[in-house]
Amino acid sequence: MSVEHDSTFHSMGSDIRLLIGRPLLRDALSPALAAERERAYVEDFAARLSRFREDSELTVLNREPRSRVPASMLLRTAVRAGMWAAERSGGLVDPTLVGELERIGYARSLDGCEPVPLSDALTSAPTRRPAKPRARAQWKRIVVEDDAGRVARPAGVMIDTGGTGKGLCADAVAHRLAGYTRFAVDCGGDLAVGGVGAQVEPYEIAVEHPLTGETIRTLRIAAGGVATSGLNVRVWRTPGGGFAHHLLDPATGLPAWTGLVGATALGSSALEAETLSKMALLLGPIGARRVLAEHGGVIVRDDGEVETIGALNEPRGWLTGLGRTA
Amino acid sequence: MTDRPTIALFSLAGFLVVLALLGSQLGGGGRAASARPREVLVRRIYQTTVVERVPRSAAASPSTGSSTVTQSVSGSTSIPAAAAPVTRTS
Repeated sequence: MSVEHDSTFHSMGSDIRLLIGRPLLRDALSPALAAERERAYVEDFAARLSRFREDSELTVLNREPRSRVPASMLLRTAVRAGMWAAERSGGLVDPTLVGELERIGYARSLDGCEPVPLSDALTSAPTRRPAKPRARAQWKRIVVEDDAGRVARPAGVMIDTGGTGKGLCADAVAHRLAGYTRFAVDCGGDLAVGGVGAQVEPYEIAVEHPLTGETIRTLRIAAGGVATSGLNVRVWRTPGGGFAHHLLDPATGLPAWTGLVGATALGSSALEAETLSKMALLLGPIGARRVLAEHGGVIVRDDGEVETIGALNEPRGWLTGLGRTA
Repeated sequence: MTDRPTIALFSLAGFLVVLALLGSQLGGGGRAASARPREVLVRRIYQTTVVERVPRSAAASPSTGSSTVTQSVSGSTSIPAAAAPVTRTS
Protein backbone atom coordinates (compact mmCIF):
# COMPACT_ATOMS: atom_id res chain seq x y z
CA MET A 1 0.00 0.00 0.00
CA SER A 2 1.38 3.43 -0.83
CA VAL A 3 0.24 6.82 0.31
CA GLU A 4 1.78 9.78 -1.40
CA HIS A 5 1.74 13.48 -0.95
CA ASP A 6 1.48 15.21 -4.32
CA SER A 7 2.34 18.90 -4.54
CA THR A 8 3.09 21.26 -7.40
CA PHE A 9 4.54 24.76 -7.45
CA HIS A 10 6.26 27.06 -9.92
CA SER A 11 9.99 27.71 -9.84
CA MET A 12 12.97 27.79 -12.23
CA GLY A 13 10.60 28.86 -14.99
CA SER A 14 8.75 25.54 -14.77
CA ASP A 15 6.28 23.55 -12.75
CA ILE A 16 7.95 21.56 -9.99
CA ARG A 17 6.10 18.49 -8.76
CA LEU A 18 6.92 16.40 -5.71
CA LEU A 19 5.45 12.98 -4.99
CA ILE A 20 6.47 11.82 -1.53
CA GLY A 21 5.53 8.51 0.10
CA ARG A 22 5.46 7.57 3.74
CA PRO A 23 8.47 8.24 5.97
CA LEU A 24 10.60 5.24 6.82
CA LEU A 25 11.56 6.58 10.24
CA ARG A 26 9.07 7.41 12.94
CA ASP A 27 10.54 10.82 13.77
CA ALA A 28 10.81 12.00 10.15
CA LEU A 29 8.77 14.92 8.87
CA SER A 30 5.37 14.08 7.42
CA PRO A 31 5.32 14.01 3.60
CA ALA A 32 3.39 17.29 3.55
CA LEU A 33 5.98 19.03 5.73
CA ALA A 34 8.80 17.44 3.75
CA ALA A 35 7.23 18.85 0.58
CA GLU A 36 7.21 22.34 2.12
CA ARG A 37 10.82 21.91 3.17
CA GLU A 38 11.83 20.84 -0.34
CA ARG A 39 9.87 23.63 -1.91
CA ALA A 40 11.90 26.11 0.12
CA TYR A 41 15.06 24.30 -0.96
CA VAL A 42 14.14 24.47 -4.65
CA GLU A 43 13.23 28.15 -4.47
CA ASP A 44 16.51 28.94 -2.74
CA PHE A 45 18.37 26.83 -5.33
CA ALA A 46 16.68 28.72 -8.16
CA ALA A 47 17.26 32.16 -6.65
CA ARG A 48 20.95 31.55 -6.04
CA LEU A 49 21.72 29.99 -9.43
CA SER A 50 19.52 32.01 -11.77
CA ARG A 51 21.27 33.64 -14.71
CA PHE A 52 18.43 36.13 -14.88
CA ARG A 53 18.59 37.55 -11.37
CA GLU A 54 20.90 40.44 -10.65
CA ASP A 55 21.51 39.30 -7.09
CA SER A 56 22.12 35.60 -7.72
CA GLU A 57 25.44 34.02 -6.85
CA LEU A 58 25.83 32.96 -10.47
CA THR A 59 25.39 36.51 -11.76
CA VAL A 60 27.90 37.78 -9.23
CA LEU A 61 30.35 35.12 -10.41
CA ASN A 62 29.83 35.98 -14.06
CA ARG A 63 30.34 39.71 -13.45
CA GLU A 64 33.43 39.27 -11.36
CA PRO A 65 36.53 40.51 -13.20
CA ARG A 66 38.90 38.44 -11.06
CA SER A 67 39.73 34.98 -12.32
CA ARG A 68 39.34 33.36 -8.87
CA VAL A 69 36.03 34.04 -7.15
CA PRO A 70 34.71 32.87 -3.77
CA ALA A 71 31.79 30.53 -4.32
CA SER A 72 29.39 28.74 -2.01
CA MET A 73 29.13 24.97 -1.88
CA LEU A 74 25.93 25.12 -3.94
CA LEU A 75 27.50 27.25 -6.66
CA ARG A 76 30.61 25.08 -6.75
CA THR A 77 28.42 21.99 -7.06
CA ALA A 78 26.40 23.53 -9.87
CA VAL A 79 29.53 24.56 -11.75
CA ARG A 80 30.97 21.10 -11.26
CA ALA A 81 27.74 19.58 -12.58
CA GLY A 82 28.03 21.74 -15.69
CA MET A 83 31.60 20.58 -16.21
CA TRP A 84 30.57 16.97 -15.65
CA ALA A 85 27.88 17.31 -18.32
CA ALA A 86 30.40 18.85 -20.71
CA GLU A 87 32.82 16.00 -20.10
CA ARG A 88 30.05 13.37 -20.39
CA SER A 89 28.83 14.85 -23.66
CA GLY A 90 32.25 15.38 -25.19
CA GLY A 91 31.76 19.15 -25.03
CA LEU A 92 28.31 19.28 -26.64
CA VAL A 93 26.54 20.38 -23.46
CA ASP A 94 28.78 23.38 -22.94
CA PRO A 95 28.15 25.58 -19.85
CA THR A 96 30.15 28.52 -21.19
CA LEU A 97 27.85 29.67 -24.01
CA VAL A 98 26.34 32.57 -22.05
CA GLY A 99 27.56 35.24 -24.45
CA GLU A 100 26.18 33.31 -27.43
CA LEU A 101 22.81 32.82 -25.71
CA GLU A 102 22.57 36.52 -24.94
CA ARG A 103 23.50 37.49 -28.48
CA ILE A 104 20.64 35.47 -29.98
CA GLY A 105 18.12 37.01 -27.60
CA TYR A 106 18.13 34.82 -24.49
CA ALA A 107 19.43 37.40 -22.05
CA ARG A 108 16.28 37.39 -19.94
CA SER A 109 13.94 34.71 -18.70
CA LEU A 110 11.34 33.51 -21.16
CA ASP A 111 9.12 32.24 -18.35
CA GLY A 112 5.53 33.11 -19.25
CA CYS A 113 6.39 34.08 -22.83
CA GLU A 114 4.36 32.31 -25.46
CA PRO A 115 6.73 30.45 -27.81
CA VAL A 116 6.30 30.99 -31.53
CA PRO A 117 4.96 27.97 -33.44
CA LEU A 118 7.77 25.48 -33.85
CA SER A 119 6.39 24.45 -37.23
CA ASP A 120 7.06 27.99 -38.52
CA ALA A 121 10.61 27.86 -37.18
CA LEU A 122 11.24 24.46 -38.73
CA THR A 123 10.03 25.66 -42.12
CA SER A 124 12.61 28.40 -42.27
CA ALA A 125 15.41 26.59 -40.40
CA PRO A 126 18.70 25.96 -42.19
CA THR A 127 19.93 22.59 -43.43
CA ARG A 128 19.86 20.02 -40.66
CA ARG A 129 23.21 18.88 -39.37
CA PRO A 130 24.66 17.54 -36.12
CA ALA A 131 26.12 19.98 -33.63
CA LYS A 132 29.78 19.77 -32.70
CA PRO A 133 31.79 20.78 -29.65
CA ARG A 134 33.68 24.04 -29.69
CA ALA A 135 37.27 23.62 -30.84
CA ARG A 136 38.72 25.75 -28.05
CA ALA A 137 36.48 24.69 -25.21
CA GLN A 138 36.41 27.20 -22.38
CA TRP A 139 34.80 24.81 -19.91
CA LYS A 140 38.05 22.86 -19.72
CA ARG A 141 39.67 25.90 -18.16
CA ILE A 142 37.26 26.10 -15.24
CA VAL A 143 38.59 24.84 -11.93
CA VAL A 144 36.50 24.28 -8.81
CA GLU A 145 38.65 24.77 -5.74
CA ASP A 146 36.78 23.19 -2.86
CA ASP A 147 39.52 23.65 -0.28
CA ALA A 148 39.70 27.36 -0.97
CA GLY A 149 35.94 27.66 -1.58
CA ARG A 150 36.45 29.27 -4.97
CA VAL A 151 35.75 28.88 -8.66
CA ALA A 152 38.58 29.77 -11.01
CA ARG A 153 38.08 30.51 -14.70
CA PRO A 154 39.67 32.81 -17.25
CA ALA A 155 38.41 36.34 -16.73
CA GLY A 156 35.43 37.00 -18.95
CA VAL A 157 34.29 33.40 -19.21
CA MET A 158 30.69 33.29 -18.06
CA ILE A 159 29.03 30.11 -16.81
CA ASP A 160 25.44 29.00 -17.34
CA THR A 161 24.26 26.33 -14.94
CA GLY A 162 20.81 26.38 -16.53
CA GLY A 163 21.58 23.56 -18.92
CA THR A 164 22.01 21.13 -16.05
CA GLY A 165 20.28 22.96 -13.22
CA LYS A 166 16.93 21.20 -13.24
CA GLY A 167 18.47 17.75 -13.34
CA LEU A 168 20.88 18.64 -10.56
CA CYS A 169 18.07 20.10 -8.48
CA ALA A 170 15.90 17.00 -8.98
CA ASP A 171 18.79 14.79 -7.89
CA ALA A 172 19.49 16.95 -4.85
CA VAL A 173 15.88 16.87 -3.70
CA ALA A 174 15.69 13.13 -4.34
CA HIS A 175 18.77 12.64 -2.19
CA ARG A 176 17.12 14.65 0.59
CA LEU A 177 14.01 12.45 0.35
CA ALA A 178 15.92 9.20 0.86
CA GLY A 179 14.06 8.58 4.14
CA TYR A 180 10.70 8.09 2.41
CA THR A 181 9.27 4.90 0.96
CA ARG A 182 9.24 6.23 -2.57
CA PHE A 183 9.44 9.63 -4.22
CA ALA A 184 9.44 11.36 -7.58
CA VAL A 185 10.90 14.81 -8.09
CA ASP A 186 9.82 16.49 -11.30
CA CYS A 187 11.71 19.68 -12.09
CA GLY A 188 10.00 20.90 -15.22
CA GLY A 189 10.01 17.51 -16.91
CA ASP A 190 13.41 16.38 -15.63
CA LEU A 191 12.69 13.68 -13.08
CA ALA A 192 14.51 11.78 -10.37
CA VAL A 193 12.73 8.82 -8.77
CA GLY A 194 13.71 6.46 -6.01
CA GLY A 195 12.94 4.86 -2.67
CA VAL A 196 12.56 1.26 -1.60
CA GLY A 197 8.85 1.37 -2.37
CA ALA A 198 9.51 2.36 -5.96
CA GLN A 199 11.41 -0.89 -6.42
CA VAL A 200 8.21 -2.86 -6.01
CA GLU A 201 5.87 -0.17 -7.33
CA PRO A 202 7.79 1.60 -10.08
CA TYR A 203 6.57 4.97 -11.24
CA GLU A 204 4.88 5.21 -14.57
CA ILE A 205 6.16 8.29 -16.36
CA ALA A 206 4.51 9.64 -19.46
CA VAL A 207 6.62 10.98 -22.33
CA GLU A 208 4.96 13.98 -23.95
CA HIS A 209 5.19 14.60 -27.68
CA PRO A 210 6.78 18.03 -28.19
CA LEU A 211 4.53 18.91 -31.12
CA THR A 212 1.15 17.46 -30.16
CA GLY A 213 1.35 17.27 -26.38
CA GLU A 214 0.09 13.69 -26.49
CA THR A 215 1.58 10.89 -24.44
CA ILE A 216 3.75 8.88 -26.82
CA ARG A 217 5.31 6.40 -24.40
CA THR A 218 4.92 5.36 -20.77
CA LEU A 219 8.08 4.41 -18.91
CA ARG A 220 8.22 2.31 -15.74
CA ILE A 221 11.06 3.56 -13.59
CA ALA A 222 12.05 2.41 -10.11
CA ALA A 223 15.22 4.42 -9.64
CA GLY A 224 17.26 6.96 -11.55
CA GLY A 225 16.38 9.80 -13.85
CA VAL A 226 14.53 10.67 -17.02
CA ALA A 227 14.63 13.96 -18.87
CA THR A 228 13.41 15.53 -22.08
CA SER A 229 14.99 18.25 -24.19
CA GLY A 230 13.12 19.91 -26.99
CA LEU A 231 12.75 22.97 -29.12
CA ASN A 232 9.06 23.64 -28.61
CA VAL A 233 9.06 25.71 -25.42
CA ARG A 234 11.94 28.17 -25.79
CA VAL A 235 11.74 29.25 -29.41
CA TRP A 236 11.37 32.88 -30.46
CA ARG A 237 11.69 35.28 -33.36
CA THR A 238 14.92 37.21 -33.78
CA PRO A 239 14.98 40.91 -34.70
CA GLY A 240 16.17 39.90 -38.17
CA GLY A 241 12.98 37.93 -38.79
CA GLY A 242 14.48 34.51 -38.23
CA PHE A 243 13.91 32.03 -35.46
CA ALA A 244 16.07 30.99 -32.54
CA HIS A 245 15.96 28.54 -29.69
CA HIS A 246 18.07 27.90 -26.62
CA LEU A 247 19.95 24.71 -27.57
CA LEU A 248 23.09 25.93 -29.25
CA ASP A 249 25.64 24.26 -31.44
CA PRO A 250 28.84 24.99 -29.48
CA ALA A 251 30.88 25.04 -32.68
CA THR A 252 28.88 27.89 -34.21
CA GLY A 253 27.25 29.52 -31.19
CA LEU A 254 23.95 29.41 -33.06
CA PRO A 255 20.76 27.38 -32.50
CA ALA A 256 21.20 23.76 -33.51
CA TRP A 257 18.82 22.40 -36.17
CA THR A 258 19.62 18.73 -36.29
CA GLY A 259 16.46 17.05 -37.52
CA LEU A 260 15.12 16.39 -34.04
CA VAL A 261 12.59 18.47 -32.12
CA GLY A 262 12.68 16.38 -28.96
CA ALA A 263 14.74 13.76 -27.17
CA THR A 264 13.95 11.88 -23.98
CA ALA A 265 16.69 10.00 -22.15
CA LEU A 266 16.88 7.73 -19.17
CA GLY A 267 19.91 7.82 -16.93
CA SER A 268 21.26 6.76 -13.60
CA SER A 269 20.41 10.24 -12.35
CA ALA A 270 18.35 13.18 -13.56
CA LEU A 271 21.56 15.05 -14.29
CA GLU A 272 22.79 12.27 -16.53
CA ALA A 273 19.40 11.93 -18.21
CA GLU A 274 19.29 15.68 -18.86
CA THR A 275 22.80 15.59 -20.28
CA LEU A 276 22.03 12.63 -22.51
CA SER A 277 18.76 14.12 -23.78
CA LYS A 278 20.49 17.38 -24.75
CA MET A 279 23.35 15.47 -26.29
CA ALA A 280 20.95 13.32 -28.31
CA LEU A 281 19.03 16.32 -29.57
CA LEU A 282 22.22 18.15 -30.53
CA LEU A 283 23.59 15.17 -32.44
CA GLY A 284 20.47 14.53 -34.52
CA PRO A 285 18.83 11.19 -35.32
CA ILE A 286 21.93 9.14 -36.10
CA GLY A 287 24.01 10.28 -33.16
CA ALA A 288 21.02 10.11 -30.84
CA ARG A 289 20.62 6.39 -31.45
CA ARG A 290 24.18 5.83 -30.27
CA VAL A 291 23.83 8.12 -27.24
CA LEU A 292 20.54 6.68 -26.07
CA ALA A 293 21.38 3.05 -26.66
CA GLU A 294 22.89 2.53 -23.20
CA HIS A 295 19.95 3.59 -21.00
CA GLY A 296 17.18 3.92 -23.55
CA GLY A 297 15.26 6.90 -24.86
CA VAL A 298 12.81 8.35 -27.33
CA ILE A 299 13.48 10.79 -30.16
CA VAL A 300 11.01 12.86 -32.14
CA ARG A 301 11.93 14.02 -35.62
CA ASP A 302 11.06 17.33 -37.20
CA ASP A 303 8.10 15.71 -38.95
CA GLY A 304 6.76 14.42 -35.64
CA GLU A 305 7.76 10.81 -36.17
CA VAL A 306 8.62 9.02 -32.94
CA GLU A 307 11.43 6.49 -32.56
CA THR A 308 12.09 4.41 -29.46
CA ILE A 309 15.68 3.50 -28.71
CA GLY A 310 16.77 0.73 -26.36
CA ALA A 311 14.64 -1.36 -24.03
CA LEU A 312 12.67 1.32 -22.23
CA ASN A 313 10.59 -0.85 -19.98
CA GLU A 314 13.23 -3.21 -18.67
CA PRO A 315 13.06 -3.20 -14.86
CA ARG A 316 15.54 -0.71 -13.43
CA GLY A 317 16.92 -0.64 -9.91
CA TRP A 318 18.35 -3.13 -7.47
CA LEU A 319 15.07 -4.63 -6.32
CA THR A 320 13.06 -4.41 -9.48
CA GLY A 321 12.85 -8.19 -9.75
CA LEU A 322 10.30 -8.04 -6.98
CA GLY A 323 8.08 -5.94 -9.15
CA ARG A 324 7.93 -8.52 -11.89
CA THR A 325 4.85 -10.65 -12.20
CA ALA A 326 5.70 -14.32 -12.52
CA MET B 1 -20.63 -63.63 30.61
CA THR B 2 -18.56 -60.56 31.08
CA ASP B 3 -18.67 -58.55 34.26
CA ARG B 4 -18.91 -54.74 34.42
CA PRO B 5 -15.25 -53.99 35.31
CA THR B 6 -14.10 -55.96 32.30
CA ILE B 7 -16.44 -54.02 30.02
CA ALA B 8 -15.16 -50.78 31.47
CA LEU B 9 -11.54 -51.87 30.90
CA PHE B 10 -12.28 -52.83 27.30
CA SER B 11 -14.01 -49.49 26.71
CA LEU B 12 -11.07 -47.59 28.18
CA ALA B 13 -8.61 -49.60 26.13
CA GLY B 14 -10.62 -48.92 22.95
CA PHE B 15 -10.73 -45.23 23.75
CA LEU B 16 -6.95 -45.12 24.26
CA VAL B 17 -6.36 -46.93 20.96
CA VAL B 18 -8.51 -44.40 19.09
CA LEU B 19 -6.75 -41.56 20.89
CA ALA B 20 -3.34 -42.95 19.93
CA LEU B 21 -4.42 -43.28 16.30
CA LEU B 22 -5.64 -39.69 16.19
CA GLY B 23 -2.45 -38.46 17.82
CA SER B 24 -0.24 -40.30 15.33
CA GLN B 25 -2.27 -38.92 12.41
CA LEU B 26 -1.95 -35.40 13.74
CA GLY B 27 1.86 -35.68 13.93
CA GLY B 28 2.15 -37.21 10.48
CA GLY B 29 -0.17 -34.55 9.03
CA GLY B 30 2.29 -31.77 10.00
CA ARG B 31 5.10 -33.52 8.18
CA ALA B 32 2.88 -34.07 5.18
CA ALA B 33 1.96 -30.39 5.06
CA SER B 34 5.61 -29.33 5.03
CA ALA B 35 6.33 -31.76 2.20
CA ARG B 36 3.49 -30.51 0.05
CA PRO B 37 4.46 -28.74 -3.17
CA ARG B 38 4.27 -24.94 -3.14
CA GLU B 39 0.97 -23.48 -4.08
CA VAL B 40 0.74 -20.73 -6.64
CA LEU B 41 -0.83 -17.81 -4.87
CA VAL B 42 -3.28 -16.02 -7.07
CA ARG B 43 -3.86 -12.58 -5.66
CA ARG B 44 -6.72 -10.32 -6.35
CA ILE B 45 -5.56 -6.75 -6.71
CA TYR B 46 -7.57 -3.88 -5.35
CA GLN B 47 -6.79 -0.31 -6.18
CA THR B 48 -8.43 2.55 -4.41
CA THR B 49 -7.48 6.12 -5.10
CA VAL B 50 -8.40 8.83 -2.65
CA VAL B 51 -7.58 12.35 -3.73
CA GLU B 52 -7.75 14.96 -1.03
CA ARG B 53 -7.27 18.55 -2.09
CA VAL B 54 -5.65 20.66 0.60
CA PRO B 55 -6.18 24.40 0.11
CA ARG B 56 -3.04 26.37 0.77
CA SER B 57 -3.21 29.54 2.82
CA ALA B 58 -2.02 32.63 1.00
CA ALA B 59 0.15 33.62 3.94
CA ALA B 60 1.99 30.33 3.93
CA SER B 61 2.59 30.27 0.19
CA PRO B 62 3.43 33.44 -1.67
CA SER B 63 3.26 31.75 -5.07
CA THR B 64 0.66 29.44 -6.48
CA GLY B 65 0.77 25.75 -5.82
CA SER B 66 -1.43 22.75 -5.24
CA SER B 67 -1.25 19.77 -2.98
CA THR B 68 -2.98 16.41 -2.94
CA VAL B 69 -2.66 13.13 -1.13
CA THR B 70 -2.89 10.04 -3.26
CA GLN B 71 -3.45 6.63 -1.74
CA SER B 72 -3.31 3.36 -3.54
CA VAL B 73 -3.84 -0.15 -2.18
CA SER B 74 -2.58 -2.97 -4.30
CA GLY B 75 -0.70 -6.16 -4.74
CA SER B 76 2.70 -6.20 -6.41
CA THR B 77 1.99 -4.21 -9.49
CA SER B 78 2.86 -0.80 -10.80
CA ILE B 79 0.41 1.78 -9.54
CA PRO B 80 0.55 5.24 -11.00
CA ALA B 81 -0.11 8.23 -8.80
CA ALA B 82 -3.23 10.35 -9.29
CA ALA B 83 -1.69 11.58 -12.51
CA ALA B 84 1.48 10.03 -13.84
CA PRO B 85 4.54 12.26 -13.77
CA VAL B 86 5.35 13.61 -17.22
CA THR B 87 8.69 14.22 -18.82
CA ARG B 88 8.49 17.06 -21.28
CA THR B 89 10.43 19.96 -22.69
CA SER B 90 10.84 22.77 -20.20
